[in-house]
Amino acid sequence: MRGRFKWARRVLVGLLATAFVLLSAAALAAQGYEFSGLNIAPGSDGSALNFAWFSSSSARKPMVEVVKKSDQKGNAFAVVKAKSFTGTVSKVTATQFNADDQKVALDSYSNKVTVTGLADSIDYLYRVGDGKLWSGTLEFTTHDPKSFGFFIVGDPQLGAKSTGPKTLDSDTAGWQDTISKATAAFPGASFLVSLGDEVNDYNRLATQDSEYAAYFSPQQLHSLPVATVNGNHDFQMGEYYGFHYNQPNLSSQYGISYGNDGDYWFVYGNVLFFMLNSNSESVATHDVFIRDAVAKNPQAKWRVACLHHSVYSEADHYSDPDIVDRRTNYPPVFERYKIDVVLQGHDHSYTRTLPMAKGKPVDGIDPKADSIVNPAGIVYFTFNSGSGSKFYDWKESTPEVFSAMRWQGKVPSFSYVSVEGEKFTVTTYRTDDMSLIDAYSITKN
Amino acid sequence: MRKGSKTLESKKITSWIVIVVALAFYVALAVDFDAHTGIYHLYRSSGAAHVRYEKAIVLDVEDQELDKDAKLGGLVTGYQDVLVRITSGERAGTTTRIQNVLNYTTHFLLKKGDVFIAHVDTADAAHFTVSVYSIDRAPTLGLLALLFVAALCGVGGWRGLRSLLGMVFTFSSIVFIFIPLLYRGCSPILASAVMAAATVSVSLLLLGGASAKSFSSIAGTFAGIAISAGLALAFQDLAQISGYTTAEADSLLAIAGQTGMKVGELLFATFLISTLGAEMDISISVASAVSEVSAGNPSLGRTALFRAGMNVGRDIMGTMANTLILAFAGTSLNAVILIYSLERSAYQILNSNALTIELAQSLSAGLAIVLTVPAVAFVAAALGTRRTHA
Repeated sequence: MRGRFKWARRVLVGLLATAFVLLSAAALAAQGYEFSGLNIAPGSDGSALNFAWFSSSSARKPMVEVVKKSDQKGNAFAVVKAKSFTGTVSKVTATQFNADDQKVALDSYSNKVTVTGLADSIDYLYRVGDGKLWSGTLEFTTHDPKSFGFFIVGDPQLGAKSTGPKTLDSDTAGWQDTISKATAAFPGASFLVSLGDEVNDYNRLATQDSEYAAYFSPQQLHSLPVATVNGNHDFQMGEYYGFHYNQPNLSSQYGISYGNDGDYWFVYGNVLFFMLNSNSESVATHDVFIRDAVAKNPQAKWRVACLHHSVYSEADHYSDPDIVDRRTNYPPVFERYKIDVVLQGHDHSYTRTLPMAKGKPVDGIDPKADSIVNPAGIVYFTFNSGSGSKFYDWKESTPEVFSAMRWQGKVPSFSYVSVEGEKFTVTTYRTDDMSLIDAYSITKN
Repeated sequence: MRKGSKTLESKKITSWIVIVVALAFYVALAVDFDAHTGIYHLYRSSGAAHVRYEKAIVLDVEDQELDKDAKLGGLVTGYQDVLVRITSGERAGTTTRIQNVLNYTTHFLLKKGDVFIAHVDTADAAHFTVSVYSIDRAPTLGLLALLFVAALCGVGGWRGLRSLLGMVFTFSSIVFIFIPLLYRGCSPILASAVMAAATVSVSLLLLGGASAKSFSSIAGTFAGIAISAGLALAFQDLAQISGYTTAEADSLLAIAGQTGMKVGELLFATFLISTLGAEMDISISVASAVSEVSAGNPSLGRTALFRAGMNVGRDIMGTMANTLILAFAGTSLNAVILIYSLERSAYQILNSNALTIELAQSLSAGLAIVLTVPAVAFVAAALGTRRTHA
């Protein structure tokens, strides 16, 4: 009798132990979703956010679960109150031209999930996964689009290694420093605009992959949405660029180089952003894209065009034949659709133009003025390197006729734009001592 | 006698026909080779979008607002609203209204009836934009070329025509063979050396026929090429300049990634090619002088001919130093003006990528040219005496 009980007890203990081990393994595995390159792009408007990441499996559809931080009790993710969003997964491909290089086999999948219905000024918690396995708990905060701010950086170009100790690590350190100083100084910023050349290598997939890892490495980018444009260093691996981001209102027809990298637009508050792929030689293609986007968003007070190749800047690329062509062909399109401000990169230096109309500075503007009301032209900004990986010298010793302010301090810099109804203010900071490089505000009433 | 000169004449005509046919065949082959080399266009548009440059005509200037700059003579800015018709390409016959903007980048003042080159930018079947790229400059350039050819043949006679054929050969070699070879990943050092040798041989043989003068000038130029190649290799390494330190390096690297082009060695090729003309120049001058002296006084020995060649060469060398400085100042005038205004320090000027390349190129060219003189004088004297004694 006693022996029988002993036997049953052993079985029971064994079963319990097995169940415990299995359950803890499941609990561990549930946290064990493997992913990389997680980033958030601004949504089509302030109530949406677009998530993208790479995973090693496509067995299940990607999901994002979002819950208000105030609904969270304790440490476990508040699954019951969370909203789930399911997206799409696709095999990552790249165009690898160079036969001399060893081609790298791609075994990654691109996951894209769009989260909608977000309220303003709320702290959210979220996790990404495949419905079975999940990431740890991450968080983001929405802001008030009626009066908001955003960051701008020029070419982070991680891996350019042109200045300082020439390693990817030093480029990455510069990039992380910029992001951490910017977010510390302006914790309420809604998103970051990254003006192309996020990575450096033209055609070696393994190298470019490590540069993407470096670009996405700042932990703040799990909370701060990033709107990228396609630079000349990004697009040469073909469709590889487009798999990294989930860009809203992405055109499959206009501004494309490889099909998944066309122009896209989004609205935040009263600003309509046109994110153009200036790698496409045709400017007419952007013309049609902007026209359509304007027609869909006639209420936006401000129209801001973002593109990689600066048409008015003063450094190395100033007289490149393709830039000279762009200087002739882009401004008429911007003027046709009454764009207010143009944000650009490519030249690794800072330039702010006088208000420009028909290829000339508007008459009678004081170049030293730090503000303007209802300008009769477009102000073009070119931003310096956000990581410090590469800087360009001025092409010519004296400033160009279009130039109101130029700066080349060979120190990483970023800009913070505040949009308060009628006033659009761009302030630019050097990251070494956080001193102000330039401040300029445009008022429209 | 009469009959003899007639056969000589017809022989001459036959050889001319052979030369022209051979050259035409060569150019056709070169063009064909070029057509089969893949070009990597960094910014090619995809999908339906594409950009074309077409001829167009101004039908009417409907409105204009122009400003003559008070300080800068001849600079007109403003805009013109013009009605134009595209006359070539897929949209030939299309009439459209465009705005011709005149600013610091583009300033082409149009009037009714003007033919211009239109930038026709197509987004898709339904959408395209047209802008003024430039006035049609081809007729002007054509006229200038025609004047050049007329002067060349008028002054130079048959020899002028032969040098023209040499030019056709050089030009087609560079555009249709040399550049495609670089695109295919052929070493620029090898490609430029082969191209230089072929160009020199063909141009000098066309000019002087199969004569001692031609052979000695070819040998002299080869010596010059070898010297500049050695100098380029040594001094580019010492000064740490290469294709990677040129202003165009970034774009070239983008192309290299897709084609295998050897960007680093490209600077060597520019050194070799830019010196080639001057080397041919001094070689033919010295060889020609030696051959004239030798013809005037067939009894002169090798030493006397060498000395005559060296004397002529020394005179040319005397002006060569100036030529190099003037050529540098001429081509870099704008850059020099800007450097002047910057009040840059000597250390900065002398060590900038651009100026180092310019100076290294000019000085090694000068050195190669100077050293070509004894080489060509020696060969010309040797060949000159052998010929007279034979």
